[in-house]
Amino acid sequence: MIKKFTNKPLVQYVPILLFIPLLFTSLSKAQSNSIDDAEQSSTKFNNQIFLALSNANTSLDELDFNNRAGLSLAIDYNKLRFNRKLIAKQNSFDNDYVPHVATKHFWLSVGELAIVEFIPWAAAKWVRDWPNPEDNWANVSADTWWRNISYGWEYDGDAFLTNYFAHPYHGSLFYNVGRSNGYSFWESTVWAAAGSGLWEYFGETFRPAFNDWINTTVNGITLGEVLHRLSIVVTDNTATGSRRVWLEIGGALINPVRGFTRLISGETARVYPNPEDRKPDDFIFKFDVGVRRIDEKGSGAEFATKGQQEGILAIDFLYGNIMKDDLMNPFSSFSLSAAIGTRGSALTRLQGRGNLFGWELKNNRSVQHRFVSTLDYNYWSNPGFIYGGTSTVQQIISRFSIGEKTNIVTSAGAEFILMGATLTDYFEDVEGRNYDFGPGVGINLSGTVKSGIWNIVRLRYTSKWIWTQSEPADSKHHLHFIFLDGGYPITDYIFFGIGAGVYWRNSAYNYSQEVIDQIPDDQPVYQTDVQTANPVVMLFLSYAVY
Amino acid sequence: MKKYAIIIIILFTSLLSAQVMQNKEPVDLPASGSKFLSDQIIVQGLYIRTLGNFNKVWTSGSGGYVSYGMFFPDHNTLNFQIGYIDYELQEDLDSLNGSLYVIPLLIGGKYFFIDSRFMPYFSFMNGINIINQTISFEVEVDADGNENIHIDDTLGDETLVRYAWQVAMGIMINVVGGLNLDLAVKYNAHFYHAEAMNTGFEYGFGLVWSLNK
Repeated sequence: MIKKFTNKPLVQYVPILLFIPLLFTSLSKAQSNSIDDAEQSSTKFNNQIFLALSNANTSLDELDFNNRAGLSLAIDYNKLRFNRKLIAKQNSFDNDYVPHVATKHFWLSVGELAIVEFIPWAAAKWVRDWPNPEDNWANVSADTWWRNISYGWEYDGDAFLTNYFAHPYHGSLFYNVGRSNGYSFWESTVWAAAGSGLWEYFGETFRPAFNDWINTTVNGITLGEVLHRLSIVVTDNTATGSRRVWLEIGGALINPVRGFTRLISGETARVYPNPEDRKPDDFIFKFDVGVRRIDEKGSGAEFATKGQQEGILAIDFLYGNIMKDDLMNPFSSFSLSAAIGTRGSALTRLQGRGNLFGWELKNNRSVQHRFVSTLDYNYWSNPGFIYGGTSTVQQIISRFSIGEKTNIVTSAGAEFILMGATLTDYFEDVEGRNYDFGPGVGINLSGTVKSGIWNIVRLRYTSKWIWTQSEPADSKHHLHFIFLDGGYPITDYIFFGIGAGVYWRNSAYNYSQEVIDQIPDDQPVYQTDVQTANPVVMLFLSYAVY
Repeated sequence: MKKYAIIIIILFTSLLSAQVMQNKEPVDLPASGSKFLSDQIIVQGLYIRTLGNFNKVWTSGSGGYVSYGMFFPDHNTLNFQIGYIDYELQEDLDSLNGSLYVIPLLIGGKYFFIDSRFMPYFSFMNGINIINQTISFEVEVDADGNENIHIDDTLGDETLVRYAWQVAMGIMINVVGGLNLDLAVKYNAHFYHAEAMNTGFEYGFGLVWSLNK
């Protein structure tokens, strides 16, 4: 029997096969650019500063490399036996190097965009196992392209995780194609929109989905800028040796497009000054562990007896300080929060928010008011409810000082939801969509008593109105969420917290009889008005790592 | 074979690019001022050839735009656009004597690739269409995937507000002083009904006055 040779397993590893030679070529260059650690240790140097520089792999910027006067005070050059390695070390630090992002690289961006489009498309076309090959949405052709151009937008039926996580993440890659190649925040938004538009029209056999275009572009911008800045924090252009290798790998995992760009531009291995704004003055990285109990059915009354209990692990990044930083510098201040739960969808929460623009209204020692416009990305999926949001919030944030380290911080904002998603009571698409899409508006209110980095008491309320645009479109939803949380800082770094709140939804349906007749038998009996309420309580322990 | 060819091209392009990128690149000097670009007032006539299901009822459109472009260095303008578009019924539906006109209110931007006498550009506009119609239609897809168009000519005047989206490639040609010609081909994907998006190719010809030039 002749065994048919298949190249499928090989194709599965195409992205890895592509990445590994590039990574190793560059990393070996990184090693060769740095001083050989083993060789150094065999040489006896009588200068402690140089030992610190080379053997400990200390970051040069931490030693204030540019402060030549300071360095010269620390070293008595007359007593030094200069070693060629010391000279090599100093020479390898390229103070005159013009960073890759100092100029725009259009064609490199186009090439990277093509790769970012190609990899998921190729994975779907050749790697994914399709039980019915006709379902393969990657089988595009000139006919499907023309049909998509002729018929235009629709709303798709994808599951929540796909539409509110996978697409925004793909959008962050499109965005970083521009951002990693010299384009500014605003300029890179065009790359996100163009990348998403090309994918929707030409990457799939389906008609282009308007919800995908909005979510991929706008949430991709939020996620993209956050990942761009976090990867800059992680990578250190002045580091050498194994430390440099690990930092480059970390940065590339956070932002693969930037990692790839550094690889092919040679910056992965080059030793040169860090950007001035690499690390913000304020930066907090913390994680929470805890338990949450939430009403699954939405009836509210059965919370005590039939609520779902689950474990939660969350991480939070707070970059910059919205009350201090230049608000006209987009995302000079942002937050990113992600949580996984033990029930339902593993990813239970993902939120990103960064300033777009704003200005100071008042600032004195005891009172400060700022107007801030933010870009907001919301992904909520838990046993009780789901909510997806792509929005911008215009808010006034105020700080009232009540102690040396204690402030009351309030916020009142109007939210414009470009694409919201909330559960529908009657339909589930064959591809998994059990929620309605539409634009909306909202109000966000919050008040917090803060001591240092911790929220001692915090009360938040948000209300959103969403008008359904996806089919069947004749419905609207009014969502509310109120939550009170707070706690006690056990040490400067550990905080014990407790919280309780309620999510409730009022939905109004105005379906035609034709639509009502299509409601599946396993769905609830049609009502024009539906109210649900999901109480939630939680206990958690926070640890501020950084 | 095709797959391997693509992989090889990507790999070699990356490696080649890596070699090129090793060289230091000069920093662009800040623009001291544009030669031909500035704030603009644009008057444009247009003709639309519709596509898809929309084309089965409304075959073409014509009208015009007035826009104001606010210049942002180095090659960008932020544009505000208002217009009027009148659509034509398919010949076999003429007897219905219906009308559909649209007032688009759009905001967006243009990126000019070069600042010279011939200025090719890319633009993206979006906003709302205020639609007035005396007949309406909807497309019903049956179980076999066949599309059936239902026309309702009894509704009288109806006004709809729908999201509008447009991308374009064009060229602006400086004729003399601040006077320019503008030629553009645009793709419209305007919302109308779920199975009948108002899609089409739009051809525009206009005059542009560059202010302060």
